[in-house]
Amino acid sequence: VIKLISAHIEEVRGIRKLDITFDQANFAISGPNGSGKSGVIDAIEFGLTGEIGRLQGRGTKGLSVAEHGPHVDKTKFPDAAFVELKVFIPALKKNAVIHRKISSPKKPTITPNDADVKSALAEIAAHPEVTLSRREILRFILVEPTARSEEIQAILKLDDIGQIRSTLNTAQNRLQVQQKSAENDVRTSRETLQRHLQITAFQAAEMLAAVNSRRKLLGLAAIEALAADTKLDTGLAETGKAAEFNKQSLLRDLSALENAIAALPNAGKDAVTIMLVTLERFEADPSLLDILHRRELIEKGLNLLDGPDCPLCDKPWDDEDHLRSHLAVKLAKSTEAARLRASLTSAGGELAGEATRVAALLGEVLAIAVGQKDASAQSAIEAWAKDLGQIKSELAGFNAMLALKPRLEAGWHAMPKDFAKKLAALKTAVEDRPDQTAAVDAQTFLSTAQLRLSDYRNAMRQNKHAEAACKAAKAAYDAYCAAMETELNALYESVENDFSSFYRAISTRATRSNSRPS
Amino acid sequence: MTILKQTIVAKFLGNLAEQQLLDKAKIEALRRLFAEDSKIKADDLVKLFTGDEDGVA
Repeated sequence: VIKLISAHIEEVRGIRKLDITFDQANFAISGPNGSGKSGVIDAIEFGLTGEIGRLQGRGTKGLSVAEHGPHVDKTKFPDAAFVELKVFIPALKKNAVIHRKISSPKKPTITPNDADVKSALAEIAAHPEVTLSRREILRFILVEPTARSEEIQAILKLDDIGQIRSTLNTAQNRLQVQQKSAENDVRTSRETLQRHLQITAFQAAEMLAAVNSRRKLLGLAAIEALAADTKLDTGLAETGKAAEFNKQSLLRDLSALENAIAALPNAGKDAVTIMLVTLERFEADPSLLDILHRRELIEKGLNLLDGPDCPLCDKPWDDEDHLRSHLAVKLAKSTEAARLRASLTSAGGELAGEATRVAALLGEVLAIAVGQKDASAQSAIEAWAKDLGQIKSELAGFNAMLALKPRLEAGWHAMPKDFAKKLAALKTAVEDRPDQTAAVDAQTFLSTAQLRLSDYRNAMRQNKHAEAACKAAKAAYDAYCAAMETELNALYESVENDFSSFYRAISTRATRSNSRPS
Repeated sequence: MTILKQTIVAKFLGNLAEQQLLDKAKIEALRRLFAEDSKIKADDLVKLFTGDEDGVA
């Protein structure tokens, strides 16, 4: 804590030249509106911190100390505007003088230039809350309890505390998206394995029953328990026969694709409806897109922000906090547009999941077409898979989604013409292949099962990893929010108590004064 | 870093350790990240949380 001895103010805000002696005591300033009371507070704040809080934050539209700090007649001569404060530092038992010019707010001249004095004054400069304007105090008093933390941050100019919370939240959201994708991979690989094994429930007992019946036929020992490293085709290589395709498994893959095609009219229907409604909103009000484009620019700017120069236009600002709050005000104006974008993105993600599912089935059937040397089916599958890959990437980007309305109205899947016919022909060709002997069927069943189990295990490992990362990010986010809320609420309580004490003291004095006999 | 921010970060890291919400390596990595003067980036956090270990203790 420091105590003010005196202040000399020249050409700052509405003040031409003013000397005030505080003598380390409490000091009250009174006067009519517009007489410059707040200008004195601004000047003291500037002298101590190099900033003027009233020129920052909400509703200030990006005023700056450099442009708006000097007296209106001296805006072209910021060198003429300065504050000189004489202070007493009780902890050091030393007097000091801070001389600070508007033209170089971060380079005060401090006398004496002692390390302990500089350190004490640097600590004060790091506490912009040492001076609060009337506007800031009123805002603090009137704030709703639910918005306390936010208001305290604004008043104390602690936006970077909220910025950390926001960055932790962004990381958490990204990891959630990654986990969703990993979950999709698990589901797809599990369905592929389950289809091959022809089991209704994905349980070890059923899996082993399906596998062991084939192993018994081949004279291989039964697998008693399914462990993490169990190989379903163990011992098979010793038979000396290379694994071939499994006819029944191929037919099941083909049927799965046929079923998926039959279900296409309803697949992703809700997501498509949400997307179309949202796209119509954007069409009806093109200004929403302009707002979003600006928002994106500001978001990028905020991410790149690392100093007092604007990363978007190179404009120099007094300090980073001022610039950051200026961008945050602009960001708050585009909340509705951001909500619509989030809705479109979320529905797009769901639809991309449907496309992934069909693409996975196409991948299995493509291998069959290649094995059957069916060039016509192969090119049709490749073309559709490529198109689904394309729409998946379009569904991942907001700007690309804006052009998808015609496609969504016509049917998002856009199955190639005659595809069903080509698929049917491929299936017939597989059906026409001679039935496999029971031994070959069992061998290929086991080798295919092992391949698909490996894919499933790999997907599970990646999902577990993604899940752990997601959980860690959530734990960190929640812990940070809890710490932030606790500290800010404690601060609020403390300031509230101080306000109450001051108010009681003033009120008591006023009552005594009024009750004196005249 | 303002004192309030320092207090919040210290409490945050302290709670993570005390309640064993994350493994030690990740808490230490977070501590280093917060100790750096530059702004924390979401990419750095994603990398940190996707580290080799499971992460959640």
